[in-house]
Amino acid sequence: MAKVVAQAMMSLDGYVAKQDNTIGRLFDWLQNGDVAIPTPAADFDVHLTPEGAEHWRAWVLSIGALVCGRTLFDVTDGWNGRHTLDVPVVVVTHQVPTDWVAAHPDAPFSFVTDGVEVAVARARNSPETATSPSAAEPWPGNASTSVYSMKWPSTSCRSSWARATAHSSGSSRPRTSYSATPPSAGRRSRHPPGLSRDQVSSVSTSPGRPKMIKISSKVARRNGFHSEDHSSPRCRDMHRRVARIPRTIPGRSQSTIRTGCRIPAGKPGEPSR
Amino acid sequence: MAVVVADMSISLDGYVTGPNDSRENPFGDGAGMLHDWFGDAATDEDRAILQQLMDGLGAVVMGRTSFEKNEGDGGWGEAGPVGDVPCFVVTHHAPSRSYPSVFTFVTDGVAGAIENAQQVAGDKVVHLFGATVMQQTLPLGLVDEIHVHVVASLIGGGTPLFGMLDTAISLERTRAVITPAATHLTFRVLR
Repeated sequence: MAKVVAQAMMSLDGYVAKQDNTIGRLFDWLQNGDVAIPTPAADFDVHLTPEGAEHWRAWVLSIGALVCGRTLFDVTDGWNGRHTLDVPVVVVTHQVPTDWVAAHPDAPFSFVTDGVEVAVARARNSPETATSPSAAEPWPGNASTSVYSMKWPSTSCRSSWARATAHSSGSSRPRTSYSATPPSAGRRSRHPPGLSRDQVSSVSTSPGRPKMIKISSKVARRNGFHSEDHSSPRCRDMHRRVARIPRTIPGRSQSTIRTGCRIPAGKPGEPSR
Repeated sequence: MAVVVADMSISLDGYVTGPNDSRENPFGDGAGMLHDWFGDAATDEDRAILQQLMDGLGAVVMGRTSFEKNEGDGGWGEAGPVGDVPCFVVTHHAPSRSYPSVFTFVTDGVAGAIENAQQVAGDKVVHLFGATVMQQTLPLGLVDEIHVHVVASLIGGGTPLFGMLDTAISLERTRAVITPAATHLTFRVLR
């Protein structure tokens, strides 16, 4: 299992930042040498002494994922979605920054609202820190665990399109099942499990608009449904899948799934099937 | 003029004693390991560092807290913290009873105590004993060097060596010696 290391650049009297969260001289050592090394994210070069360079190279190679708190995330604005060390970041926070997530759909960032222990476990299980592919565990399926996650870095994620077909079973509430119909050749499809009547809390139909089906967040997660970004009427490609736990959105207790758009939940980093 | 040095053993989280330190419990709770580097765990390198410290000692300046904790019976006995090396105690009120002559009580402030100590130390070193005196003198620019012996432990509470500062103070590390017992760091205070 991945080792967990606490590291800091600190003053002799033990501070890692000033009162205003600026760093003063703390990072000066990154630019006081002649050995130029680009950072993993290639956002700038460090210039280190030979000893510093040896230490830096070993340190950078050793890191698979980062866990940080909300303060650091806010101060850096989430490193614009890509940390300097170019590894996944797990942020411990009380509230998920939904606006930031919407603005950085490809960022390999997770937001954990259930405490630092869950965050550390999450970071340990990221594909980059897992010792084997099978060690990467899926997102916690428990509805009480709020893990807001974006895509983990992966070279092959595909989207699959489903079209909802509602058929009546003769009862007053339509029984709805979903079947996957690829919108174009070349995209792989997946047959979703059918939803039973009692899993669907309401159905709304407006002429000319997609059918809206309300299901609980638990049902959504268990069946691999994710509500889309409500700022866009279109379904998003798998590369921009967003897992929302409605409990983290104030006032919302259910997912709204638009028919005709479904993003299967796979394991992070795995291609969808 | 004699160099003024703050020389302390500290945990990684910067404490010189644990919580609840007292005359009966001078190092506080959970901090007994702080001085192992020159006791049970000492290597030759550690002993050499300690010897260098002792040989260079010309005078000591300390606060009343350190004095009360260690003087007399059960502590330094009839001597000072380093035998008969002159020791200046910074205090608000002169003591009512008499103490061994190695101690001089200074009531007009820490700067005066350091000046007296420097005169006595000659070309040797003035050592600041205890966290309080160092915290008082550092912002006044009266400290020339900081020597810390960092012990591999997190105490989590007690007497911190460093206090709050209004402005940052730059240091230059002049020596780093790593032994199994401690990490000995020497810094020059830049002014």
